[in-house]
Amino acid sequence: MKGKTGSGIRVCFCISERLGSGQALPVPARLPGMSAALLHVRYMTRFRSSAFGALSLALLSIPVLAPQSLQAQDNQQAAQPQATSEIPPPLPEMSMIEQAWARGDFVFVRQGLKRHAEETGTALAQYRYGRVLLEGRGGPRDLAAAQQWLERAVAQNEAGAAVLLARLYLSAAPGGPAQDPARAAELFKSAAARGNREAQYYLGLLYDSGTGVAADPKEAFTWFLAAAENAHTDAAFELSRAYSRGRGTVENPAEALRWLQAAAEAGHAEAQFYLAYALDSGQGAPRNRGEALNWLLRSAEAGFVQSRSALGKKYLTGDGVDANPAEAVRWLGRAAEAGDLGAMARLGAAYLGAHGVARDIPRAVALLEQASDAGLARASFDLAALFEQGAPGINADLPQAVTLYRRAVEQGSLEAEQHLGQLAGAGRLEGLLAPHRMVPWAVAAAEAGDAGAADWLQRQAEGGLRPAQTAFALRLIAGEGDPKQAAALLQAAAAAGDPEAQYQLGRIYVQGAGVEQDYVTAHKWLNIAAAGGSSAALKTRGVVADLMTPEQLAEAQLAARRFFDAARDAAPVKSE
Amino acid sequence: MKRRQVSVRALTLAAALCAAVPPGLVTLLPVPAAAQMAGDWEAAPQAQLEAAAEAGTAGAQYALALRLEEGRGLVQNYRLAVEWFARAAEQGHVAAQGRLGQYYHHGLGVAKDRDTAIHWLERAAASGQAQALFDLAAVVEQGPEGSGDPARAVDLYRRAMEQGHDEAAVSLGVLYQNGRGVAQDLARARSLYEGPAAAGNARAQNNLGLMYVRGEGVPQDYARAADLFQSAADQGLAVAIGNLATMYENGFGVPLDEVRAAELNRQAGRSGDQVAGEAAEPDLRPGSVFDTRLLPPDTGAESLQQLQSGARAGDPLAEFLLGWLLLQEGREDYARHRQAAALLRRAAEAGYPAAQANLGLMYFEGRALPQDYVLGYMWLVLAGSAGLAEARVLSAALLPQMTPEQIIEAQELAEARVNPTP
Repeated sequence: MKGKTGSGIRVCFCISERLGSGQALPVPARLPGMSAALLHVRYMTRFRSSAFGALSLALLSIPVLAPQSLQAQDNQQAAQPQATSEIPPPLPEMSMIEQAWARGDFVFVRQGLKRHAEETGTALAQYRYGRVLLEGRGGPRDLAAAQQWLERAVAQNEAGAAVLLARLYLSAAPGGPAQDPARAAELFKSAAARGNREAQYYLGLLYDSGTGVAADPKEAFTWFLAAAENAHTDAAFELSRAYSRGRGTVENPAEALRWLQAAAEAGHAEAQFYLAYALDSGQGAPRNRGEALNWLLRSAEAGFVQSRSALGKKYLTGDGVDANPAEAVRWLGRAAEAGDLGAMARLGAAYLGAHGVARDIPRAVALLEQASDAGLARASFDLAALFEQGAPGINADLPQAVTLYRRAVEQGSLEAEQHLGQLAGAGRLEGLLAPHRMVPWAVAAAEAGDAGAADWLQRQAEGGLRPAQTAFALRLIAGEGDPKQAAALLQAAAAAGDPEAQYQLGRIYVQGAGVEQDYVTAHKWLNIAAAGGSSAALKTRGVVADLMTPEQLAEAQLAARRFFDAARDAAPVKSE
Repeated sequence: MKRRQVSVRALTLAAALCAAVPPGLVTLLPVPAAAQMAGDWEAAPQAQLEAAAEAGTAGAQYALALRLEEGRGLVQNYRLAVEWFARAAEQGHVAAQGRLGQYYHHGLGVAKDRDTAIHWLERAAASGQAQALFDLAAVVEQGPEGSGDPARAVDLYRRAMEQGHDEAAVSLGVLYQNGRGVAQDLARARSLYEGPAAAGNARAQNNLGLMYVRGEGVPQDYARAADLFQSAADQGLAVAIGNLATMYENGFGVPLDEVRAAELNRQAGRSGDQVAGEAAEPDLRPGSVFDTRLLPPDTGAESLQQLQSGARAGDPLAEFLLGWLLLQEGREDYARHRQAAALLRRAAEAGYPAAQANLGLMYFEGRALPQDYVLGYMWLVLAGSAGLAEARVLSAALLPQMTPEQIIEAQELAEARVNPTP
């Protein structure tokens, strides 16, 4: 896979092939499996999220340095011939060291640089030797020594050394110096001021996240701009985001697109992905689905997982491209292998026999389970539906389906909640669960218009089920039903200890809806609900208290105390 | 010709000042003065004091009543305090007569009774002491449904003032300013305010400021007025803070500053009337009371574990420290409050004063516990009587929001916890 080039480190070493995959790619904090549309939203909004800052720094903090070829730009220093002497052997010329680097003879490189650093004391030799020690080439990794040599090079104003040392100070690597973001920021500042684009980019990240410096989006923008103008690809991408959100600068969609294109053209896979999205949707760029597909293919082939997932989805559904089940399976499979939950769920659903993909139930189940276990509600829902209906090789299993629907609810699926409500309304959950658990589902289904669920809720309320009384009363209030009936239901549920009913009862006493307005009784119930943890009740209690005399307040507090005393007497085992 | 007017609020606020000295029993008689009147009995051992009081010594009865009032060394109990004040008063103890009058006036520990209150205040005033004259004047000046007698108050205030009582001079000034009980005389009012104002009396400063705003008896001078309001506001007088807000709202004598005005208005609403020069409002948030004999607990994992096992074993100190720690972070967090309440309750029931005080504050706040001033005050009384002076400051600050019945009930509950009757 081809990463983007970290051209920023070319001050002394130019990049031979690529940076390792861990190299400061500003991969955004994202939930795996997010759809492309959500991802875009995330792209547009995540400047507000602290997760991004944290992740960038986590990446910053691992200075995995890729093999670098040496560049002979400084060889007027290095080419100095050495006076021959018997022992020690002659100091190798820097150009020889560079050749050794190019062919991968790091033992020679290390020994040569050690002597250069020690004997010539040039900043370049110190920097290069420090780097070799840091990377552990041609000998063990030695961060303490690396730090020393880099410090010496920095003392001689070697910008590349400043950048490397700053990253070491950010990293908290074992055996290295203690983490010191403030020092790192100073080092980046000194190198950035001298035009080092990598330092400019990192300084931008530090200002963006407020690491080692006070957070300052404007400063961050300025440095991203400087680095991007210096052809730093990651900085171009950051700059695009700054323009798209107006962070540290005036929002400017045209500039955002321009820099996104620049980063994409320089091979930034994530930029390619967002560019593809913009072109595909027409949001942020003139719509051009053909170009979008090209960028998505480039990004996918460069290994960007979201692109692979999005491309697979396009092939699966024939969205902007001829449907191609084989290609869909291939790209979704690769994204799923990389842990993309959306791809897992989509592929799993496809294996149930959709979109021209051959049915493969075991595979479908395996994929859906994996995504479900990882927290994806849609996968849990699809799996639940599979168990509810059954399939070849899978017996219909309602209890198992209910378990999975409930998991989907916990994972945030409203659809699952409504479906469970329908099942409850249809009486299919009887005996499987205690009815009070079904109340919120029935509410969700009833709100979505399911008459069976609404009837069920009413029957349960009339039968004395506390949370059903509360929920049904709220439906009455919201739907302009009989306020007196609502009040009576809330009264019953509140007295039986339902906190939501206590709060709602307090509210109707404040409003005088279905009961006579009565601040004392309102305060009593709000106080009880607040003590049970309702922050809404706490707030309303404060508002009501301001309208009451001290005597009324005293009466209300006494009533609340009596309520708790009675509850304690009724349940002597349970301490308050 | 009409420029922006000073808002009506500022004008009505002047009237609020007529009621004079802020309410609250504890503040009516400065404690040092009261203690002085307790004379030799002030420092007497409790048993000796009780014996002498029982034997009928008026000074001892008065001193014992004061201890009951403050809840110092024994459980605060206004009902008992009234009984002892009454016994000393019957014997002609002037300070006790004054105190007794106040209790009847506020209906604390005894049924509220204006006539009896005035009777005892008159008996005290008959001594001619300035404070007694002033206290009587303050009560007779106002009365329900026009029963106030401002003319008599004028006379009483004047007599107190002649003995150098500044508050009496200010109250008299208000009557002259408003022409109540006496013909309006702005020049007289002004001269009555000026001395105390220069000496730093907040009410005098505020009222004088108001005269400068209105140009009453003086040339209108907003800058001067703003200065005076500021001085009074600095001492925490809510009315003055409100008046200062009005000045900022309108840009009178100060640069127009609505933000500042809004902030001052909030502040005025928050700080009930405080007596000038009184200490700043104590921190009433649960967790604000710490045991000053202790070092703040170490929050390292190991120490926390030790505290937790200590708390499980029922060590009140560990329970207190854990509960206190829980209240320091996450003041909004219900679960933490709940846990803190349980820990503090156990330590409080074991008699640990700092836990009692914080538990009391939790009842006042009413977050994880039902808001209940009675139970809150009960725990503060218990903490105070166990020797935690801070708790007495807190209960004095919280007292004004309670009804007399709540106060008495709390004291009785506290008494029942200390001396359970079979």
